[in-house]
Amino acid sequence: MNSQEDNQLMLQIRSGNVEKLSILFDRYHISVYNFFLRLTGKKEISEDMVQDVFLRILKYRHTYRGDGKFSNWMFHIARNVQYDYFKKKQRGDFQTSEKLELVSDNPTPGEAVEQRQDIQLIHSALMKLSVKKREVLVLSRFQNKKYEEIAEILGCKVSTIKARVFRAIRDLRDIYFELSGDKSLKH
Amino acid sequence: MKNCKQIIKNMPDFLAGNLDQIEQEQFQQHLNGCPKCKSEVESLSGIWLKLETTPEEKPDPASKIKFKNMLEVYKQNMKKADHPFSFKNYFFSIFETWRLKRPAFQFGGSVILLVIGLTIGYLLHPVISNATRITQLREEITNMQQVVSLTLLKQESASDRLQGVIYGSKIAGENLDVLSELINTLNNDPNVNVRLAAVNALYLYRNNPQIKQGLINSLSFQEAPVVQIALVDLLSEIKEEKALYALKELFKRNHLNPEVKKRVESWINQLL
Repeated sequence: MNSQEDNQLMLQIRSGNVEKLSILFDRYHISVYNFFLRLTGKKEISEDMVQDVFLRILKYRHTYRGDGKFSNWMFHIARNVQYDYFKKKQRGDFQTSEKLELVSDNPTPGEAVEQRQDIQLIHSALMKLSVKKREVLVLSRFQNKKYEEIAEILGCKVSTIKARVFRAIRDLRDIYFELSGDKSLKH
Repeated sequence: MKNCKQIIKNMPDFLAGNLDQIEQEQFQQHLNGCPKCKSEVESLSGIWLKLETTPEEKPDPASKIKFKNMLEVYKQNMKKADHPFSFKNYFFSIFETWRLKRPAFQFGGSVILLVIGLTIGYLLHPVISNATRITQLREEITNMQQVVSLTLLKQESASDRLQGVIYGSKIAGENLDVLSELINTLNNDPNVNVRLAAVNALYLYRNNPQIKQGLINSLSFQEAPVVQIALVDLLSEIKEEKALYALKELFKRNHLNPEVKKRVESWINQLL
């Protein structure tokens, strides 16, 4: 995706041409949806959060400066949306089932059952991480964000992000092997 | 040559593929000589790669419709916020349409409107000086006082009529309506005190020709000695032929109160 073009579109939106948000929605809503899905494990909630992100983009369009990547600004908003979600969840505002909806239960054609189970296992392990650790992995591995970008999105130092990534992947490995019962790869 | 601590520190960059060629070589060199770090890197890389294999999910297609609806609502709210309907805005929008754009035209327009306004004002409200206004107000007050006085004189209560006489004497001035009514009261009021008060009230106006004549004529109507004496005293001050004639006529009247007769005789002798 052309970040220069995104920036121009967002500047137009900031000026009042809000219709242009449709283009950005088409470009990013799947990406944002997956960000939330991997953080919450809930499809419906993730869809609602996507709507919330784009509504907040409209609401706070005047604050867009255009001096960075649009997607980083958007994920900063998305991060605030998920922060509000987990705060409400802690207060008990959401009554959701514990069943994770990260991946489809039915394997796609050509996908081995074993492979599908492994994906489900890694997702389950991911959900056992703390939100802070999970979000750095999601942004890095699923959104392909560089550590500098993640630092910008989360408002941290790059060194903090790298340290968190290391702790997150180490914890994820331990949880994964614990869940699979396979400790052969664990040192 | 890197040590184990540096390997751990560089691990996130190694996993993300951020190390440059030299760093990559140093990293690999350490792993070749350190089975512990090698095992750690391998297991973490395995998990790192597993994350990559997870497919991207697609949201419900309805979410796009939901977004479109949300955007539409937002646009409508924007329009309302930018142009909230009010009579004030409506007025100014009309004004904006019709207003003259160039300052010279604006000035000319203002002068024309001023002249029109002054002309209409002059035609609708003729110029009235302050003195005239004061005179008008005085006239209105006098009329009001006259109405009050005349109303009081026609009341059934003697005390009200008495008040009317006192009030009328104060405000009568040259007002013949009030003075005529006082003469009328003197001639016809059933209460002797009211008639007596009327004599005293008219004393101040005795030199007015009409009042003078009224007082002279009134003497023939009076029966009450107290009123006759008061009126005789008043007429004696007029010192005119008509007044003397009236006194003489009263003197001739049969059954005249001796005190009155004595008073009239005394005045006739003085006036002759």
